[in-house]
Amino acid sequence: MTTTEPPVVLAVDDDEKLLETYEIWLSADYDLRTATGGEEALAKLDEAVDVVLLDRLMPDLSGDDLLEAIRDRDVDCRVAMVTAVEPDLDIVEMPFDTYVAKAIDESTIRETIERLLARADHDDRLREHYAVAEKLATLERRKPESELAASAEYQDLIDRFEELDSTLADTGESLDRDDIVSEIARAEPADRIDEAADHPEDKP
Amino acid sequence: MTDIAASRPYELLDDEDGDAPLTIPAGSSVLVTASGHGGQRFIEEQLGRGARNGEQTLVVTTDDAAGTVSDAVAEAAGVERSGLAERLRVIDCQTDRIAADSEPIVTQNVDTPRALTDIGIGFKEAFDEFEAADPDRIRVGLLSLSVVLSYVDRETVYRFCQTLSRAIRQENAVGFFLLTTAAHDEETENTLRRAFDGTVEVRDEDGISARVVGIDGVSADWRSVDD
Repeated sequence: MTTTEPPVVLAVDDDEKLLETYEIWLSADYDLRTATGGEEALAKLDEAVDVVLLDRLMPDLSGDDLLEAIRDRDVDCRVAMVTAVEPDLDIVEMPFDTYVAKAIDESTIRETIERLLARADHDDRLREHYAVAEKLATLERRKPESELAASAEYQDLIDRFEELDSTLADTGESLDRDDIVSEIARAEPADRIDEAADHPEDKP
Repeated sequence: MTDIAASRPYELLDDEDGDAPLTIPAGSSVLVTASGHGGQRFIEEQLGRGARNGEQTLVVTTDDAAGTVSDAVAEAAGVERSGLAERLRVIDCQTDRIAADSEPIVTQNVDTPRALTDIGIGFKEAFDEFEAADPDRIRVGLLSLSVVLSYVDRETVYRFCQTLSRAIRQENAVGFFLLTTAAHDEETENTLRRAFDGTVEVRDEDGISARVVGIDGVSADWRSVDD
């Protein structure tokens, strides 16, 4: 997070008691928005939202449908599905980022939010790593080496690339083998993931 | 991971005319660029060299049958394919799968090179298996990125490679990712390069030669690969 603004969390649940509990737990550290149903959730969803806590079973619009609507909006937010039971499908193939099984407690919710925020930062760095590599390649194609050495723009990009590289190498310390899979899944275009989610029976 | 034996450099080429053997540090991943078939041969030689020395081998194949790739690695290692069964794993991404004789070595069948997440699952499972058998030394070859690039956009491929090269570093393995340069523009090649620790340029003129570019402490001189 480059901004000092608190991260924006949108909590969606038809259980107003639970939303009040979220207020107590989270409102000091996060900019918390709450919604008791799908329509209200979509009205409160915008680019500022970093994390959505989404109840899977709601009367008017199911969490799954709402999730689809959120993804259709193309808002860059992370979604934690709050479920009564653990989903039996492979989490990698689901269009949400993580899930929390009820009954939930404050520390679990906080850890979940922080993990999703850290993951968003990490993915931003991966995206930038590519963007800088591509810019460098473009400059390398257009300009001879002698000109590159003298180019401040090129040097700045090289510095930024090295900075990203070393930050990623540090976070790489915690890249466990499951992260290999989830990190690649997050880099894949959404249509490919949807395809996989639509045909889980095709998996070997 | 603190095992000193596990983190010693990997040998790519024997000593030659007074030059020391060519090695790269454990944990390195390289983009292997070649205009023709020399790149694939170079990687098969590398995997065979590892297999001959008791290292584990993981191959991702997009074009050749798992059996064909296994035979190439076995031949480079100078052993029968059956002799590698314990130590060789193949992630088979051919779209037209014909060979059914390779089951014991196939760790993951992937329907298409487009399915990067499934390839990632193959990596995870192979690393898990290798750890149970012998955690020390692993060589990884991906044949080829050019085919993956014909299915998937450049940014996604880049991030896929970036993640795998960090995973390979984590395992103290080495990775060889093939790019056939004739199939791509210079910008694609120069962009992808940066997802790895360095590049091995392979050329095929009067025999195969290669040089390592961009890895600290490793000479960038051309060396002959043929025995």
